[in-house]
Amino acid sequence: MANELETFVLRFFESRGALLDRPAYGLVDVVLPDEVSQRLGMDSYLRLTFDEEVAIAHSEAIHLTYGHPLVDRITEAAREVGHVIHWYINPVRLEKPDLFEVIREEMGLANGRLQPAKEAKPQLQIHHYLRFNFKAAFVTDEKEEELVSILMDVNSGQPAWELDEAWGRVFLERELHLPDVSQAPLAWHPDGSTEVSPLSEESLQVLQERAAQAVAQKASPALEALQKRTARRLELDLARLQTFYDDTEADLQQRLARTEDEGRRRSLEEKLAFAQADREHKLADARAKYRLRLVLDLINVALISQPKLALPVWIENRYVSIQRNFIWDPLLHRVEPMLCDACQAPTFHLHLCTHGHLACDDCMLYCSACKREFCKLCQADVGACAVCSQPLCVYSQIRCPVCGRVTCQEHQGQCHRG
Amino acid sequence: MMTQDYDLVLSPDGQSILAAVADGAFAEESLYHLRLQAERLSLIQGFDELISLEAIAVELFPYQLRTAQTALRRFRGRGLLCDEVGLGKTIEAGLVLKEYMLRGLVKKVLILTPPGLTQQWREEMANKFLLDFITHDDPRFQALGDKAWEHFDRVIASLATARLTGTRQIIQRIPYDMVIIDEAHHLKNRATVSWRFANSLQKKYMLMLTATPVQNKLDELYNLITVLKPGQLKTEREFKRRFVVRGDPRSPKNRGLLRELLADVMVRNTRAQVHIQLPRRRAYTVRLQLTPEEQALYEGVSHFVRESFHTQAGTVQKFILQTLQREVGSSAMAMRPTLEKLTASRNFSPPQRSEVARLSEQAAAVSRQAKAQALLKLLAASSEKALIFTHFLATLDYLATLLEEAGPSFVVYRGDLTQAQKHEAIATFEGPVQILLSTEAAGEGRNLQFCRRMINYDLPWNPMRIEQRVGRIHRIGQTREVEIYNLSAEDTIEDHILRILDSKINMFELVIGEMDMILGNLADERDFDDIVMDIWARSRTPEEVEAEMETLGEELVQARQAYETMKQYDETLFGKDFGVE
Repeated sequence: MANELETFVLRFFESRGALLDRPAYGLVDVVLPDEVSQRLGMDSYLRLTFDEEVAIAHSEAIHLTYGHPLVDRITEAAREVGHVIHWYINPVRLEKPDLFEVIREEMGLANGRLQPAKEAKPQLQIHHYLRFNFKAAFVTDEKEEELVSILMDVNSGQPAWELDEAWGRVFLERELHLPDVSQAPLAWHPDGSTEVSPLSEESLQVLQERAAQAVAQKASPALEALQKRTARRLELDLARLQTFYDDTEADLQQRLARTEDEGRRRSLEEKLAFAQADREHKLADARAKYRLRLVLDLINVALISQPKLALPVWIENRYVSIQRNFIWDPLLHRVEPMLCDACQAPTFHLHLCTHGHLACDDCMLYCSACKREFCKLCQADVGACAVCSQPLCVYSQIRCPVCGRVTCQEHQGQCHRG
Repeated sequence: MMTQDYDLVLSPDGQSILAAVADGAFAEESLYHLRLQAERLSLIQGFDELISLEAIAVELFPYQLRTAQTALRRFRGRGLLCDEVGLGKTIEAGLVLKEYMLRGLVKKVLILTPPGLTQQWREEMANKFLLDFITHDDPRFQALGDKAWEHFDRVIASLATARLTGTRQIIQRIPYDMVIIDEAHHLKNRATVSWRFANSLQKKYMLMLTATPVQNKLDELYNLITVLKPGQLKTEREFKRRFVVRGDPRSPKNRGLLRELLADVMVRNTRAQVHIQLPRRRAYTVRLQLTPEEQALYEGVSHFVRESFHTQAGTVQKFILQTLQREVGSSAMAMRPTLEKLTASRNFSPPQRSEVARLSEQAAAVSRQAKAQALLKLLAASSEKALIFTHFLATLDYLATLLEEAGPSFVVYRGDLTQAQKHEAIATFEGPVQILLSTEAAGEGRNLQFCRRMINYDLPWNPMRIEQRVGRIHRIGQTREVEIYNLSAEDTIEDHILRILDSKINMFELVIGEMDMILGNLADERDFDDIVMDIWARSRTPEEVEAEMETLGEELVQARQAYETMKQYDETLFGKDFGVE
């Protein structure tokens, strides 16, 4: 059975247009196109084996093992290409009857209602995912590496954990079966703009950073265990060093106190100064040695595009009315969560801010007087009563003509009394 | 939930990949998968499995592997490797280093050795671990001056050079990932510049190598361990109180506790533990007289070398003269390239150059070579396989012609052969052919144990080189008694060297590696071949040479005795307590 190294090497040669032949058990003849062999700095004819015993019997064959220079060269050549691939997901059913009803069921709107937009129909849009493949190195005074893949939803800017879980069952194709489908806009952007291309370098850069954070989240059990182990080792080393230098210095101090000879005193003082400097130096060495680092190297990226359905829906309450697109994912059969305008966390529990923002539970402020709701983006419009400290929005604040402070109606005029 | 007490580092190399996404520069699917597979194959796992094993050119013994794993896992990169002589401490250290380097944990390395061992370390690192180091005396290093220490990531230097005022301060400022100190017993005394220097180095990992961690008293062990792990053995006063018998600095007490503390930082394999017992080896000297032509040539060259040696100030010129003297000890042909160089050299005066021209003619006129005749006689006496060594390619070519005419089957092995040709040569020698005719490059790392006879056609002046030759066949896997034949022409410099090495200290029956220890005990820190050359150059008569070499021989005897005493002491102290087996 071919081992992983053999599979890799032969696939590599095939990808470069080589002809492969197996003249005998354990031997592979490779004929490379001249142009390729020159570029790779290899002979155009190679007889290879991956088997030690075959190598002994056939001294003319190159025995490839991990660390062999030829394997290193192939690995390097493989690293130079294959950086980005584009796949499409072509879901079978692209319509969703009664989508508005489904949205209404899924979404929890705490302070308003959803209304279908007049004559609005679900529109097909292309949404993107990026699968970031990282080599993650856990580095302390030792190092372990693993490959970690993180699937990011480009349009929401969030890790697509659910699709990631289903990744093995996703049917990926190199072409989109639908012509002329428009791209969905970004639902997030570092600058707050939704006009920029979802695949601009700027947004990709932020997505990569978020993906890196997601790797840390995914690897947190491993990181935590490593951190504990390393911290313990560092603690032991530091304790040993501190005790040693404490004892050494105490010993020198004692001897210094006892001596009356000037020459001896100078020598002991020098030793003491040396020990003090040495302590800092050795402690720094130990800390540097055990510092935990998670180093991420982006290996390559897969761009995955998928058509989804977008339905414009009105969200309204007595104060405000806004229209937003809700997304139906035909692959996962679900309405996608909305992003909180304030913290950008995905959520199904929404609040409509008095100023027209959508926000999650954690990002809402309430006026104690009029019960209006504001999101954290509007927190400048929410103060507090100078007497009872209850939150008060700009619409409910009563400004004291005497001291200029604001109060609620109940405490009007009480703000400047004793 | 953990607090983020770690650094999250995102490599900037991903930018080009993101740019390719933005540009829509998509690759084929097969290449995308290959890229991932390439990374998967090169992933680094924990130290349970060493990734360096596939990337080194040396066969390891199980104890060497376990020692490296102990150094990596238990010592966490800071350890004292104290194997008995000849068990391969260099290999263990090289393996640890290679492992760290392949894992990307070590980049900047400093190896400190005794002066005579820098080249040997460089060669071993290159040949066995495929790691290129630069030595501090390399012209490329010298050309950069002080900046070289920072510039080169892998440096081998003698401790004596590194600790020099000026140099020391430069090195102390450099944060090394790994420092290796060979013959670390030179750091036994805390009051020395060497100890303070080693202690002050900034280093993440550190390996110290010595076969004799304690030479005279237990304090020495304390001092070594304190460089590696300050506080491991507490303070000096506390160490003495707890572990040294009062009034007897050589005798330990509380051995159990001491052993426990040392086991966290020290490993010491003994031959008995790892079951490495090699068969005996015997040396035979074939003493012969040069032909009158050769004798005249030898004397002429020696006279020229002696006269010129004192008038030439340059190191290079002295080196050329020394080479010439060594070549004439090999064969008349060996001198040809050096004589040509001298004829063209402006560093030599016109009378010197005409003398060289005369010597060239004299060399060309040598028709019969006594050593060659002795060699043929020796080969004719037995049809057993033999490995013939010569240091010089010209001599090798001459011997090849000679053997071709004389008849015994042979194959040539030299450094400039391709790997495949080398493999072929060894395979042929193992098969039908009787003789492997070789330069020193022979079979480094290859199994030649099927042969048990070695003939030194010429003798290196440096005993370590002789040991390396012997080590080709006297190694693990050799089951039969090894025979070493040394061809020696009377009254030559090699004859004197052979006499003191063989009859004074019985070098050819020492364990591989012991010679190094003995040389390390010589008061004179120069390379052995430099000491010999110095004697040769300043002696005016054969009697003077004899007397000086006799003195050197006596020093070697004393050095050997000192080594034996230390060995015995270490054996008593540590026994089998620190082996990995």
